[in-house]
Amino acid sequence: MNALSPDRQGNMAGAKSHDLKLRDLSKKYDQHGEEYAVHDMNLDVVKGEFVSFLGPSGSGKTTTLMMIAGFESLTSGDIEIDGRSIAGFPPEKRNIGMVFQNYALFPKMTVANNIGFPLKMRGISGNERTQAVERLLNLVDLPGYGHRYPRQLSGGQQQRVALARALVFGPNILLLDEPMGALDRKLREQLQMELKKLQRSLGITTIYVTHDQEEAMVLSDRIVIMDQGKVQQVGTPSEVYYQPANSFAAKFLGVANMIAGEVVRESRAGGIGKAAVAGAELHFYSANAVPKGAKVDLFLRPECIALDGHGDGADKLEGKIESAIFVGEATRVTVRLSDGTLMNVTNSNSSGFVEFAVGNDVTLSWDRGRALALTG
Amino acid sequence: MTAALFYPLSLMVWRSFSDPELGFQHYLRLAEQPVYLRITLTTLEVSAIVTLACLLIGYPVAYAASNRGPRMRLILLATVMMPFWTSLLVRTYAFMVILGQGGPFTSLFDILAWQEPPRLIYNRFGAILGMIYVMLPFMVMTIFAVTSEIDANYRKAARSLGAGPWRAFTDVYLPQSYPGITGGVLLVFIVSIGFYVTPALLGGRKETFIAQVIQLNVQEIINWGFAAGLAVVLLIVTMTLLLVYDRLLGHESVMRPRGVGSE
Ligand SMILES: Nc1ncnc2c1ncn2[C@@H]1O[C@H](COP(=O)(O)OP(=O)(O)OP(=O)(O)O)[C@@H](O)[C@H]1O
Ligand SMILES: [Mg+2]
Repeated sequence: MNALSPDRQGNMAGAKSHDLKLRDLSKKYDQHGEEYAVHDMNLDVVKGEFVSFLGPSGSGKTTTLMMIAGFESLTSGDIEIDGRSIAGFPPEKRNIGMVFQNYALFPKMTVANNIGFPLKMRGISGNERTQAVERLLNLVDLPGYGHRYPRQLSGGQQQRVALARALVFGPNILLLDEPMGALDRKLREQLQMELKKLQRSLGITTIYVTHDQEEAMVLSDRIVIMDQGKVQQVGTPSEVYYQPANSFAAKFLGVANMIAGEVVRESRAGGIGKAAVAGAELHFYSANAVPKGAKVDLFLRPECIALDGHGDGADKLEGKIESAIFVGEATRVTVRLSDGTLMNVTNSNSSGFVEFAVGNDVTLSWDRGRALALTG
Repeated sequence: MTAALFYPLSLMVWRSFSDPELGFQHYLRLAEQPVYLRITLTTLEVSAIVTLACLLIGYPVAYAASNRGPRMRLILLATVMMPFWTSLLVRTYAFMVILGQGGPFTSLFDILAWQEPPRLIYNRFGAILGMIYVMLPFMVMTIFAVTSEIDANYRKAARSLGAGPWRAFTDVYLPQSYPGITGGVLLVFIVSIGFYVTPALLGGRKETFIAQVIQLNVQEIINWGFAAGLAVVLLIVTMTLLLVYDRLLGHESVMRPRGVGSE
């Protein structure tokens, strides 16, 4: 059997890892209705990868997870592990470990019996089972907790037991549905680190559902941004943060400045164009070709904007300071542009603190091509 | 509250020793005449059969009502509660019509050219059938109260961990529904023991229940002392069974709050 053995503490990525592919995956709960809970989803998760599904409530994250785990039927499409379709298998035949939002620890069983449950179902008994349970308890840092009942554990401990139970049988894939949802912030951060470390060392291909963007960034190799059942973007944390595919992705992650404008010089895909914006003409980078006259939003992260009007080649905009809040490592400044747009600027204090007086005129500037044109 | 319950109870116990004169005469009579032992055993036996039947029918109904969607829940619960809209007496008489001579069932047997249609009422079968019909809603509702609170994720978790549908049920779902089962069994059994109307009307002369004998002594023979003695015996039998049951089921007890003293 493939219960985790103690010598597998090192990186075993590759050796035992599996890849997961979602092919045009769709789900309608109401067969006759028009509404898709998940629509034409395509995703390749490589061996040992940690992928997060990030999106607002009702965007189809849980539904996708349930289809992978085998609890929801597919309306169309396919799911493959290592190139073989698993769509026809019942949940118990898929060998997928799952951690539920409320952990779903069996209340009438001790912690040891909870963790031993998947082994029992696989006909593993006696010493072998006891030892595997012990190993997993050590792995999640809960030695000696085997005799307790779930209700005698704290939320964080319950989560770790749920994780141990989902890992003990050596699953091909690990699925987690908002496992930190019920925990306070500090504990979350600690458990995130532990989970990440554990996942790395086991090299297990993992899908993690959350609607906490920070959590997704901390944990993931790649993030899948979902909205209304559709994938909005797939990318590494820095990709989705600095190169959002559309305005939904831009606004969903972090603070986004969006300035509405009209293209005055067209751009090919991956090229630089120019747009008329708030009384100025600014350069933009665009991933897609945009024709002259098209309406675009220019996107900029707050930390990409400088308030001292530096550089000759830089793009510039004039505005008035509306507020300035000192937060330690930086000052958060809001600036009102002539067309009324409110801009958020994070001014780093790394080279000394600068005082910003509310009501003063100020010049916003950034490197040419830093602004991204978003059409969707 | 306790006093309101306790006063009539102690009055009853006192009467069984003092009415019409002080002494153990009622209990001696109960012990000497085998008919009373037989009545007690009949009462217990029929009650046990009724309870078991209610459990076997009621559990799947409660399960379906808890797990098969809101429509199924509505249909099943409405059907189960329907009998409560009419009085017990009316329902029992309805049973007499349905099962009795010239009713649909005996007519069916006639059509099928049965030599002699079997008797469906005025015997043990009739009493049991009628009691099941009356007690089933109590069983269903008691179990449903527990099963409807069991999160569907438990079974999903069991399935994802490698349990087939049956193991997920027996190993995870069933243990979580035990409080409903114990509660339902207790309720149905105890109410059955004290049953009067249904066995009196649907049962035969041999299926006399303790409650009937008590009623006879109170209303017709006017022997209050003996009636009280019978009631005390009934009470003691019930309490003893309760304790045995509680002991057998250990910490799944309904008499002790959940979670206390279970570790
Ligand atoms: N069992 C169901 N029957 C019908 N519709 C459902 C069912 N489960 C989910 N839906 C619908 O499908 C859509 C996607 O739901 P889903 O639970 O996948 O969202 P989610 O991204 O997990 O949201 P949350 O962050 O709130 O958990 C929603 O519109 C939801 O109402
Ligand atoms: Mg969800």
